[in-house]
Amino acid sequence: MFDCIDDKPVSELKVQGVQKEVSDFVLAADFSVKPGQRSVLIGRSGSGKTTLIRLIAGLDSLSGARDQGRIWLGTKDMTELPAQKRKMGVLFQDLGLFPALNVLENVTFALKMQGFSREKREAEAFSWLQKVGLEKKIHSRIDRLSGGEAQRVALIRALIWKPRAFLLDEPFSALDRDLRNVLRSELLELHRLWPVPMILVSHDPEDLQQIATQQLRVVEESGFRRIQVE
Amino acid sequence: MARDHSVHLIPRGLGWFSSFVVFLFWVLGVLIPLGALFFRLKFFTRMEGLFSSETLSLVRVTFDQAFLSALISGALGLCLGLWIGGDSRWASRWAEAFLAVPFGIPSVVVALGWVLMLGRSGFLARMGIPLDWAYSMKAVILAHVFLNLPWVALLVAQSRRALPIQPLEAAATLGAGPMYRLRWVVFPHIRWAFFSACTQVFGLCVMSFALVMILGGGPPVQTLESALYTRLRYGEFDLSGAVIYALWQLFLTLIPWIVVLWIQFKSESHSLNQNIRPGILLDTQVQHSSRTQFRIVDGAQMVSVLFFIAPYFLIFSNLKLNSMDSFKSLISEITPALKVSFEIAGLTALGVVLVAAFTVIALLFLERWPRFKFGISILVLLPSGISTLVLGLGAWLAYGKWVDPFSGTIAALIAVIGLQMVIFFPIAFRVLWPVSQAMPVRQFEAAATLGCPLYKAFWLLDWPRWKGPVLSAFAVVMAASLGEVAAASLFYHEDLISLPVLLSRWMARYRFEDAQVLAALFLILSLLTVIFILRSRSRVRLY
Repeated sequence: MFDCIDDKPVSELKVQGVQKEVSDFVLAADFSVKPGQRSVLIGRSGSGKTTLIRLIAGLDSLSGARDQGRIWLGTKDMTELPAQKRKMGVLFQDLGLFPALNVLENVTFALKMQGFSREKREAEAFSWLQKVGLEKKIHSRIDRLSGGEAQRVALIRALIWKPRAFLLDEPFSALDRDLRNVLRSELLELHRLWPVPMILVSHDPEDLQQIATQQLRVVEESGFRRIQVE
Repeated sequence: MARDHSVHLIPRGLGWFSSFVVFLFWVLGVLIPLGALFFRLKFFTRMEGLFSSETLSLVRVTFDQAFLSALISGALGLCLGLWIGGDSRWASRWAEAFLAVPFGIPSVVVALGWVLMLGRSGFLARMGIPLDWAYSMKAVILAHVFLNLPWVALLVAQSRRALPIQPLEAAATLGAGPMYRLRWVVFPHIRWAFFSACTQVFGLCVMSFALVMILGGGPPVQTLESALYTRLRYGEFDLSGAVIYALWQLFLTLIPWIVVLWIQFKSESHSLNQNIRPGILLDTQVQHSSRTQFRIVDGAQMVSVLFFIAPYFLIFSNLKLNSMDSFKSLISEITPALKVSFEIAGLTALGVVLVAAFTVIALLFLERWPRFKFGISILVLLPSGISTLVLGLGAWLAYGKWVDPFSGTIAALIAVIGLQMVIFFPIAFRVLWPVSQAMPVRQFEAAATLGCPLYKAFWLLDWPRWKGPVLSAFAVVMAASLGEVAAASLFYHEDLISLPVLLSRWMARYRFEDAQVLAALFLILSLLTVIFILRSRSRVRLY
C-alpha cells in the first residue's frame, strides 16, 4: 500500500542560528528535529510561531538586512531554496485547499507536479483517502466537505508526496474537541507511516500531551522571541 | 488572509518588465500627446484666442448642455435607481441588467434612433406630436438624458442593493418613517455612488461627439468637441483654433475626472467601515416581499427601464429592403467597412487587455512601495478624463512629423488603434483590477509548498477565475471599439472607413433607409455583446 514514491532516506531538520526581524521583535531559533520526532511549538499569539513555519517552508525568507542563520535538511542547505523546491508538507491553519479543484485533484496536486501518471496518482489518492474514510468523496467539490473532511483532505494532500518534513500551523484550532481527538490519532497514524521531522504549532495543551515527543516554546526576552527546546 | 504576502508572488523580472511596458504606454500614449498640446501654446503670438467671445460662447454651450443633461439624468436616475435597488426580486435584477444596455449601443446608432424619433417625419410626428426637435440643443440634451440616466440608475441601484436591511429595520424600530429612512439611512449610503455617477455623466456629455454632430446638426449646435473636429476635418483647417478648443475641453473634462477620483477615494474609505455582507441580507429582503407586490411592481419596473431603451429599437421599425439585389449591393458596400471595423476592434481589444494585464501585474509588484503605487494607479486612469479628439490632436502634433495619420495607410490604422487603446484602456483595467484584489494568495503558497512553480499555479488554480473577466474585458473593449466614432472620424480615409463612419456618412447623405439597415445590424451585434458579457460575468466564480 505505502510503496514509497520517493525512497530517499528521511533526514534531520536543523534550524541553525536563525534570526528574523519581524515588525517589533527579532525571532531567534536554534534547534533540530530528528526523523520521526514530533515537535510541538507553543507560544502566545503574535509571538512568531507562524513566521517560523513560513521560514522553514520557504514562504518567507531570511533576506532582511539583519536576518541570519541557515535551515538544513540533513546535509542539504535549504535556506536559499524557493518553497516549490523544498518539498515540505505544510498544513495551513486555513487549509489552503484549492476550491476550483475537486478532492482527487487537490490530493494529487503535488504528484501531478512531479509528473506521475494519472493511474498512479488516482491509485495513490484512493489508498490514502481510504485510510481516513474519504474514498467515496474522491470526486466531491471542496465546498461540499465538512470541516473535518476538509481537514483530512488537506492532511493527505500534504503527506501523499512523501515530503522531507511535515509542518502544521494550528491545524485543529477550528474544530470541536471530539473531532480534534479523532484527527490527532489519524495524524499520528499517518506520521508513523512516513516518519519525517514534524513541527506542529498549537495552543492546545492536549496536542502537547498526545502528539509531542519534543516541546518547543517561544520565550519572550527584551526585543527577542526565542524558540527554546524543553 | 495572507494578503500582505501577495507582493512576493510577482517575480522581480516580470514586475519590472510590466512596469516598463506600462510606463512606455503611458508616456507615449498620454504624456507626450498632452505635452504637445501645451507646447503648441508657445507658437501663439497672443493668448486672446483662448478667451475670445466665440471660444467662451462655445465653452458656455458645452458646459450648459452637459450640466443640464447631468442634472436631469441625476435627478431621475436617482429615483429609478432607488426603486430598482430597493428590492431583489427577479424583475429588479433583470431591470438592472437592462440598464446596462445603452452602454453597449454605439453612439451613431443612438443618434439615428433619435433622428427617427424626433425628425420632422419621425415617429413622434407620425403619432401627432410634432415636436420637430431634431438638430437642436433640446434633442442633444434629451438624447444625453436617455443615454446617461440608466447609468446613474444602475450605480444607485447597485449601491442601494448593497445596503443591509438591519440599519433600515433599526431605524424603523426607532420611529423613522419611509422618508426619514431615505434621508438618514439610505442616502448617506448611496451618496458617493450617486455623485460619482452624476460627475461622470457631466464629463461624458462634455466629451460627447457623434450625438452632438448628428443630432445637433453640426453648425446649428456646436460644442467644444464638435467645433474641434470641424477645425480639423470639416471645412477650413485651423490648427490654432483646434488647439484652443482642445485645451478648454481638457479643462472641462479633467475637473470632473478629478472629482470622480476624489469621490471614489472617499467612498472606498467609507466602505471600509462596512463589514456586513449584503448578499445574506438580501435573502431576508426577498422574504419580506409579498405576492401582490410581485406582479405590479415587477411590471412597473420593467416598463420604466424599457422606456429608456425603447428609442433605439425604433431602428427596427419600417426597415425597408426593396429587393434582394438592393440588399446584396448594400452588403457589398458594408463588407469593406465591416472588415476594417473588425480589424481595428480585434487589435484594439487584444492590445488593451494585454496592457491592462501588464498594469495589474505592475501595480501588484509596486505594492512594495505604496505611495508610488497610488500615484501610478491614478495616472493609469487619466485617459478616462480626456476626450478622444483632444488626445488625437495631441498625438498628431507630437508624432505627425514622422507618421501622417491622415494618409489612410497603415499609419492611420495604427493611429486609430493606438488612440482607441489609450481611451479604452481604463475600461479593461477596471474589469481586471478587482479580480487581482481577490488573488488566492494562500492557494499560491500551498501550491508552492507542493512543488508547483508560480506560472503553473496561476494556470491551474487562478486562471479559471480570470477567464471570465478577461473575456468580458475583451468583449467590452471590442464592442466599444466597433462603435467608436471620434478616433475613426478623425483619422478616416477613403481606404479606412469603419462601420460607424460609414453609417454617419449615409445619414449625412440622407440615405436613412440604408443607414437604418446598417444600424439594425449594429444594434443586434451590440445586444449580443451585452448578453455575452452578462453571461460570462454570471459564470465567474469568486472564491
